[in-house]
Amino acid sequence: MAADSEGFNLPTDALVEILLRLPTSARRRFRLVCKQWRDLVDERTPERQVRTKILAFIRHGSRSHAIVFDDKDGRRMHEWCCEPATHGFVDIIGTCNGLICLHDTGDSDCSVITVTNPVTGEAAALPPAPASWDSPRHQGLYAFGYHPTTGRYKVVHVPRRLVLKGDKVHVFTLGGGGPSATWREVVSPAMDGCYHNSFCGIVSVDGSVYWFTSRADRVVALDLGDDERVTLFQGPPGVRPVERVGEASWKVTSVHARLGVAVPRYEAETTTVEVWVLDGGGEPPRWSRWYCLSDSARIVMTPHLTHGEYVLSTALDKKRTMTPRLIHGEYVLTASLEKKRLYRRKVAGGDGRAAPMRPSEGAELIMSEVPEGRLMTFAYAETREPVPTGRVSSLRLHYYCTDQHFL
Amino acid sequence: MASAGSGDEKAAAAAMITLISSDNEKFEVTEATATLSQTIRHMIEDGCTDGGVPLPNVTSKILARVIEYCKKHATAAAGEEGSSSSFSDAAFLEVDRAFLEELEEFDDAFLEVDRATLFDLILAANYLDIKGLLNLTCQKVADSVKGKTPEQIREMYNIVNDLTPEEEAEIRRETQWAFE
Repeated sequence: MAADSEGFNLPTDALVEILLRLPTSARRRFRLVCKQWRDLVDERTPERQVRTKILAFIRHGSRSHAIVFDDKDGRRMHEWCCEPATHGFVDIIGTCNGLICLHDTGDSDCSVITVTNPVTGEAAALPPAPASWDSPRHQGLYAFGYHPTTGRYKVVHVPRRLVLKGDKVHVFTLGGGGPSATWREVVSPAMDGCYHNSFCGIVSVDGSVYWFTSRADRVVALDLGDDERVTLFQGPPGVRPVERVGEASWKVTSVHARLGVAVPRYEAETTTVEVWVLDGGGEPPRWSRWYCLSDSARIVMTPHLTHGEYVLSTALDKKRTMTPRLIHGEYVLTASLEKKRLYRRKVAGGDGRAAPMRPSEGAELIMSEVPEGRLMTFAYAETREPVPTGRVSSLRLHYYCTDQHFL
Repeated sequence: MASAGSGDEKAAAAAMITLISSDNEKFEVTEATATLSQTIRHMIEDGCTDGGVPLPNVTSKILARVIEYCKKHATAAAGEEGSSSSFSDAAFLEVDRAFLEELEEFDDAFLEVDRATLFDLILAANYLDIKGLLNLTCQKVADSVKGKTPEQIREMYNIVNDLTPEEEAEIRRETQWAFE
């Protein structure tokens, strides 16, 4: 009965006892070990899905906040905070399986990308993305994605090119090649002369990264699998080619783990957002209009538009006026006249594919005093997913406050 | 510890059980110690412990460790019962706390073994049905693997990946969707 030190020769019951004591995320990950482990996880352990929470990322001056809302009541929250090593600010690139990818933008010389799991405190820094005189590394679009069949995490940099052809993107594979891993160039003639439109954003969905060309009428798709294939296809019916990049008001986003394009129409008092979802990536691509969201508040569109049956929106509360002005020495400090609030609204009627619809009337307030600054939303799950090995990073998220009600 | 020892002796006078390891070594233990094992408890209840309890699945080396664990925890259980029946006095609570800390230290030190021994302890705890020991040892293994990748697990334990590429792709997809 002596256990062979080389093997895992435990009886099934004992292995089940061990699997039951693992965090859910590790248990799901270990379905990849072998058939026996997969079957035991499937048949002998409670099959609980990891429910994602809403992560709101707000950049406020040099300090950035990641605020995680408990999904059950949408109210309890905790917050992580981070500040840049030198100057500039820390931006978010994306979240994936409990990992968060952050970008300390610094300047063109020092720009650090870190992948971290705030639950375990593990963090790995990437070497800086390639840069050239016409393409500073802190500019362009960044995305963080996971390819489901290779199991690899990748960071994508779509550089801003002023002069050159714009047919290249940079890709970094985490844990591939150890500490000496480098950014690779993915060159595709398909992208020649297309560039990108930074106003439309970038999104990582189910193993691919998507962004719009500079004319904002076609979508570029980069498959994160081993062959890193690039394809271009026509955007949804709601978009048209633009002359200047800034004229494009639509954004790529994720809608129930699919590529979505949110096309807003601004009117005097309200904004209507049409949400188109990619149903099939063939030629021509199939787009369906899933939602037509109409709201007096501003809908937070990117890069995580729907969360379960909710959409998030922000509104300015004009009734309560904060201190408008303060004289401090020779400076005048101005504060916002309004308080920004964050709401979530239920989108009625399941996936809404049958007919366009409006968010139901009752908006739930989930945060009453949102710090001013750019607000983005992500899906986030607290897991113990290990950070693929890399160089150790000094950038960490600081746990700021716990289970605090901001209402 | 002197008081715990004398308690042991009193119980010992009451009933002793003989456990026989696979290599035929005999261990005399109190009933209180032995009945931490549900398997042995059932044997005692069925009255089939005369002449010793043969444990053909447990070596003397592992049985000695298991008994060491059971002795310590049987004393702890006796101590808990004792304190709950007496009035809850600040001094008693203090003693309880100190004892629990000591027990925790004991458990930590108990787990300082190589992997083969740890697995043998799991097998023994599973066979003898000792809840506390099974929990302790399985948690130790779970803690040591939970941050690992599937590849690292296979390397650690020499597990052959018998999943087809198609099955693997399917699992990866499901794993990701669990987070959406």
